[in-house]
Amino acid sequence: MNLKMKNDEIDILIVEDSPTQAEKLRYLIEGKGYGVRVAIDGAMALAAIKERKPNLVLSDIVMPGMDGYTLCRTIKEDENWRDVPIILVTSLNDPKDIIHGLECGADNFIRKPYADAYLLARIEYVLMNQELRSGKNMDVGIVLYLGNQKHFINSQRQQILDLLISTYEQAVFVNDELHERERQVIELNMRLAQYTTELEATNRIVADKNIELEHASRAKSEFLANMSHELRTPLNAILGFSEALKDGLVGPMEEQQREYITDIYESGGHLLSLINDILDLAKIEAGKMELELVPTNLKMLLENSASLLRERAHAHSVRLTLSVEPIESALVDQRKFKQIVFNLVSNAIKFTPAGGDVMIALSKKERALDPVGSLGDFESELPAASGQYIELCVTDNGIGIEPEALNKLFQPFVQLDSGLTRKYEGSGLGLAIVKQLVELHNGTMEVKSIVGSGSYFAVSLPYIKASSHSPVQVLKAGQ
Amino acid sequence: MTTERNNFLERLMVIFKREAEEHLKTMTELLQLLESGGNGQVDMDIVDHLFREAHSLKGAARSVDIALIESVCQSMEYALVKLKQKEIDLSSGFFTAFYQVIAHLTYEVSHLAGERKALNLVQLQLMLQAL
Repeated sequence: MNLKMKNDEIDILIVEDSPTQAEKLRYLIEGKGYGVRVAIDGAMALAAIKERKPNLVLSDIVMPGMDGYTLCRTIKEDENWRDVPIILVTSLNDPKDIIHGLECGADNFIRKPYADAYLLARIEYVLMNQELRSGKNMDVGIVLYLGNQKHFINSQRQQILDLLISTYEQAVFVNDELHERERQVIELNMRLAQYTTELEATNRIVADKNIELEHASRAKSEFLANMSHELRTPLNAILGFSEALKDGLVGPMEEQQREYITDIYESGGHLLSLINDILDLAKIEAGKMELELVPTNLKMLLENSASLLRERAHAHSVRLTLSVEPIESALVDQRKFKQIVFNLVSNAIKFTPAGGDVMIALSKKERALDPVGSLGDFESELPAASGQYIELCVTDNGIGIEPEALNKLFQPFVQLDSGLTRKYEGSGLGLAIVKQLVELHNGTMEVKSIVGSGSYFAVSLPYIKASSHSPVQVLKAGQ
Repeated sequence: MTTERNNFLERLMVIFKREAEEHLKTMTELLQLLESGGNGQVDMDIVDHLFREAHSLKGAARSVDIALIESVCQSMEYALVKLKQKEIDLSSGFFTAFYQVIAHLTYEVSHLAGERKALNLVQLQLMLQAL
């Protein structure tokens, strides 16, 4: 290289297909005072060299058409162009990049991404050492095997050394990057650990709140149970004395007096049934309700219950019919079974207009899978041991229930249409109690209803056969 | 920063926008070609071409210091190498990821004027890495 040459006399050919990168390189190199030409692919580069031999070629590798390696080889194979130094810009990601670089006879390498100052220093270095690589290079060859492929390298020592240094620089750079990434990973892990700790703390708070809530709910139920009991005591006095007056046990009464005292007695009776409902529900919710299973003749039990209900049906001018299959003696909590029957049937009577029908059916069935139309909400698992269950169906042809209302049906204190509350008296607890009692038995419930046509309630309770010596079994709720 | 350098950077950004749009357009066409190729065979020439486009866009983005576009392009390159080495197939996931990435890059490139806003491409990059 002619050291007396001024920079502006030096012609550098950039071969780069990306206009942005070419423009950046041109700006950078022109900034040093060099003359710059740009070719956007290998073919254009060869044409440019033919036109005027440059002092240096700086070429990209990945390009459409002729790539950087081929361009380099073509230049080096030409006697006249061989002494033009070529710098390849490569990412040096693959060992093959190095081999390809050596094979094509490139003079130097710039690793992507490069710092501007580094690129300029490289260019200067190559121009300064041009003499070293002039002429007699292509003489000694080395055969090299890499990845099962034979490569023939005839680069001179200077080239190999340059490449070695480039590669080493690359390794150092990548190592630095790796350290940086490692630091980031450690930092992220620390942040993750912190989030996890926070999450755990939040979970603990939620768990504590749940326990508090459970305690509060239990306290409420206990309070209700106790209150209901306290309310019943004075109410019994009211009922007892008003009944005695009404029946004339204390002496004769005038017509109006009798009417008033009858009102007092009947209202008291209604109040008592409301309090009993509340007491039952509260007891179940407080977990104090127990199942007392005794050997029972279900047919007799049902007929017994029906006799009380017949009176009520008669008063509403509703026909009550009973269809009972003979069932062997079963273990049943009699009081609770009666209550289920009573609540379902009195509901049916209440919501069936005069002249309507209410039917009760009792049968023993084999376990069916997934009863159609059942409400998943309150379906609990039947004990798998017995495949048999007792089914109690209550059907009416009364006013029916809106489909949207079915879900609300078993919530305590809800009578579906607030307008109905006036027309049909009741606490709104009847079905909620039935649901709880059925669940207490590990049973399931099913409801179907068509507005204007009537409703169908089916209760399935596990059938437990009573052996001749079955003792009374007491099961606590939830067991 | 000198006015002269500012002018250069402005000019470079204009060149980049034009170049990026060109690459993205070509990539869309290549993806459509790849998709219509069908019969399970992957046309490796198209994949090579796609790779070159992603590679050029990566270098161009680096020239204008848009690190996120650069690294999204790097992820595209990785995915294409996997495709070439038959580690992944031309699944619907592949096309979804590439089309979305290109759509977002196109949007971002078209809004490059003036201040350079942070590109929200991290999620898209993860999509590519998951291929």
